[in-house]
Amino acid sequence: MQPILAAECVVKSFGQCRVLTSATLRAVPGELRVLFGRNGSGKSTLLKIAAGWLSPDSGAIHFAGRVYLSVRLAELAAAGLFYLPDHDFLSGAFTIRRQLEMIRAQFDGGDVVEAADQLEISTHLDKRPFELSGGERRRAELAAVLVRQPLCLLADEPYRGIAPKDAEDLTRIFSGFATSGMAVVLTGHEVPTLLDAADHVSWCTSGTTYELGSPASARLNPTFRQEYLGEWSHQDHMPLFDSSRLTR
Amino acid sequence: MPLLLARAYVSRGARLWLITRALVSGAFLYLGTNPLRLSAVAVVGIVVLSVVLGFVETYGRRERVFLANLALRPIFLSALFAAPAMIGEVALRVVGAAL
Repeated sequence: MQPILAAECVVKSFGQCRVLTSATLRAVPGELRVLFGRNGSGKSTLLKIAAGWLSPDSGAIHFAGRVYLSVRLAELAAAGLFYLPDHDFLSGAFTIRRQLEMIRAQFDGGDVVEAADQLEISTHLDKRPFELSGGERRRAELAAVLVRQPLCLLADEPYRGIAPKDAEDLTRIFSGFATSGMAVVLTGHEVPTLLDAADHVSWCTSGTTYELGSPASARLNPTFRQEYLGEWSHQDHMPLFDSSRLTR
Repeated sequence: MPLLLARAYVSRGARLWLITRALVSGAFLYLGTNPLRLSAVAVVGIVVLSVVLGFVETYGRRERVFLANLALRPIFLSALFAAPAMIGEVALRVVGAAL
């Protein structure tokens, strides 16, 4: 299937520091794509550029059949993009319900109560985001995605600051988005969780990106194993904590 | 633009204009000038200051991405912050002229 979003040949420098030399990001409807990369490798920068949140030095953004050399997130959002940044997305100034209602009213989106039920945050709808735990805030953000019903979702490190159990739940939700036809791109360092859920893996390193294909192909890529996965690649999904080994 | 969204940011604009106007009026009273009969330049300055404070609060609350995801451009946000300030200034001018 054709990508709905493609950031092609992206170059970006901050002062003297060149972060991206020639990077590409694609989002395909019905696929959950994961972008891996070490801290500082430029994956968040690439996601911001693809979302129109940051201007590239050069490169082009293709979204929903249009090509942009310079574009703002507001313009892409109107066309069906949703971008979750690597910090809290919802405002502390309003309740969750009010913010979801704003999204619903703006885009004639899905039902707020139904989305909250699905994400198990119904009891928190009349709270403000700072009253919720990290996992609950992530769920509230995903409820916003459900209400918006975008064509494409870019989520930058959505697993930050949450418990492994919440990460599993979030992964199921992201997979559900992709199954429903949404193009989903995630970044993160939760290798086992993300590799299990991904349809496609990209790797951002040294200012460029490599399309590694399916998670199985990615696991077999020797450079990716050596430079990114490290020790983890030698373990076959070994649990981090095995309670059966506990001794008194 | 949905009413819910407009109401939220217009009320923020109104709050910030009230604070700005109170502080500026206090300063003008201290300087011996009638704060209800300010020059056009001063009035425009108060409106611009209210809009700037609105953006500062929006940036501080990290609402920019949320608003951009709502396809709301900064120019519309400026209008939402400016509207209550302009209405308030016109109302004060009318009151000032009547006194």
